[in-house]
Amino acid sequence: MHITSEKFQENAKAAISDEQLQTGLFIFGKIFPLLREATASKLPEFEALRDSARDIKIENLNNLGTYLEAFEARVEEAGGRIHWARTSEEANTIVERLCEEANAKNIIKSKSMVTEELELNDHLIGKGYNVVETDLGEYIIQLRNEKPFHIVGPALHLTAGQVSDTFYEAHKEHGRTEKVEDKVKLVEEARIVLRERFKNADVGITGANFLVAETGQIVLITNEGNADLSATLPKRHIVVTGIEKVVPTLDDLSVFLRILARSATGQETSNYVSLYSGPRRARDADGPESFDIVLVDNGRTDMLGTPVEEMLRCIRCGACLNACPVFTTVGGQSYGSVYSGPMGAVWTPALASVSSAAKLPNASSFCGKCEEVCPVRIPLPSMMRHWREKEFESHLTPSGQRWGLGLWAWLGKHPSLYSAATNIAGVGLRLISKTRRGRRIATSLPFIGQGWTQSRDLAVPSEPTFLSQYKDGRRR
Amino acid sequence: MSDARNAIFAKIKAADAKRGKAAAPEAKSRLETPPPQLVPAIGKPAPEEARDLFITKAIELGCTVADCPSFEEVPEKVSAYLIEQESPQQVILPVDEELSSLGWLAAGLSVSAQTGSDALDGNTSVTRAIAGVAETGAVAVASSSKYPVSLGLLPDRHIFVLKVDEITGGYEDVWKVARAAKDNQGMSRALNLVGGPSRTADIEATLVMGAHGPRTVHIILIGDDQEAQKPA
Repeated sequence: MHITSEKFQENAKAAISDEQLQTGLFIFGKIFPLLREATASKLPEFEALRDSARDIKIENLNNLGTYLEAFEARVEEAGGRIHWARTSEEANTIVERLCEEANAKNIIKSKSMVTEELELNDHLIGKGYNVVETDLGEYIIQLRNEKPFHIVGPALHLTAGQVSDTFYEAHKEHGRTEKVEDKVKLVEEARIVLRERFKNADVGITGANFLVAETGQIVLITNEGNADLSATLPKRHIVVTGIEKVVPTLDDLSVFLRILARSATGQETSNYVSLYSGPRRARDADGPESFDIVLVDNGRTDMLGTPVEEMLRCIRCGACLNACPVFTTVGGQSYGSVYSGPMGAVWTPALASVSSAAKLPNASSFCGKCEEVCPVRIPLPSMMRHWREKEFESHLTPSGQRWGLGLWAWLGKHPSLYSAATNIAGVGLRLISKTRRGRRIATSLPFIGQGWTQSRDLAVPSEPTFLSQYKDGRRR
Repeated sequence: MSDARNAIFAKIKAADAKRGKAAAPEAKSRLETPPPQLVPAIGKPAPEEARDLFITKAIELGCTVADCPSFEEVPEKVSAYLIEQESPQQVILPVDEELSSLGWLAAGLSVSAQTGSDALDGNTSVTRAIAGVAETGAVAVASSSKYPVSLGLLPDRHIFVLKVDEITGGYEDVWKVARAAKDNQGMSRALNLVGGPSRTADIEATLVMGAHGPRTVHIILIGDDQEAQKPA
């Protein structure tokens, strides 16, 4: 996975001053959380279901080998094939070989974050295949040569005007000369162009939201129906997904179905929830002749038994991104990784490296909102803290920050000096601060404090300090 | 690439060892006898409430629902729906005796069994369903000789014919169908829960119907309780 997370700060700065982008971020930061809250509150058992989902995943990861073996056996019974891939290179090579075997030329894809992680499209296009994304959002960003902005809404940062420009340019070759701006017409245009692509496709590639060990079925969840078309019309269906997507039984699956759409988009259910097993049977009127599943490790087994193992519970709903004050301010592209927001800040260092992704676990205020909304209760803040510790241990933290943390730690060990220093700082702050709307704020700090006040004000702590109140017995 | 398989399983085993426990035998028995999980009240409605819940949820998903006293009257209901939709009096049927034996021509409809993808474009399909899920309002269908999956994906309008007694509570009731197959060859390739018309909100989060699949989904509900309520 190629990442450009080193540029987080520059990207974030640009994103914050991009007004168009900020309008798009309203959808993630406000609309999605409101919709999630509204549907969740209509289901009295929602919180209890989250507990069940967490417990199922814990048991699941403790017995991952057993469930993967069972899944493999059931898929083969149904006439499907399983391929194992340790790395993205192995996975991409397997898919390429399967396409070659089918004498394929045209490939259609349904949205899959794992294939984004593998950079599968680039690989296949480099080998001369026509690869077309069919989820509307993914299709738009494919045409624009961008990375997904958000794991659920890859193109929601764009305006209808931007989509209109993109379609106008891209669809000329399909004989479409009229520039449409209306959203309904834009969707219609994509439908017409992609319908032909579906019909002419030799191979359909999908991801999988879940794999059911009990039955060997893969689960595809969409609102558009594009995954079902990809799994049905072409003569070969290839599923590319991560090994952690396996769940034990159909009863367990129900728990996830009840929380996934509610957490992701605030829907009670997505429009197409489909379970597929094997190629078409003799009695079937349609369906692919072959059914291949590529199970990808790509760093996942390295997370097992480590402090970030719990990240493998993730069901990619995107709720943590929508709840995150950082994501909803700087947007997905700032992260320089296909996985962004809190879940991306934990996944990316695991899949790429701590050194290249160090900025991401630091892009958090540790407010805890992500953990609060996570349907499988992943302790995201503590895992970001884990990566920060790793970063510090490996001496990757910038020297200024290390020096500052060192000084802070030293002061912390000398309570009288700590108290003197904070008192002096408090007096100094009050001297240079002013009152605005009833609050004391400092608008311009000297020395290293400049870094803070260049872009925001500092609220001056109220008196007396917590420590002196504690001493007086007023705070416990 | 069995090397890859071995390597992945070796790493999983190593993690198990680190955790201090080998794979638990309970995992295997979990697969053989799946323990029930928490099912919310909405997933197990009382039988007399299931029908109304299903209708409500289906409509919330953007479906239309019509009641129909018997199978014989399905063509008339379909015809009425197509008039309302200002669509041609023409339907595509799967190879399904239960439907094809009905009086379509008498109701003024032309019938086609052409199920190639070009024939389905812009057309209306009429199919049976295996269940209606009251919890969500979705209709369950399973691939078979009687149900080509593309019939629920390519036409502009999809009409489901569902019997009231096929309405079930929640997901768990649909899984019974998947589990009824003796082996994986016997299991349907596709089990689709269709929750209304195809839609997208990928441009500025504005909901637009008819993304890739049917623009409208109509459910004809057979044996509605009006009959049952008539005095004997």
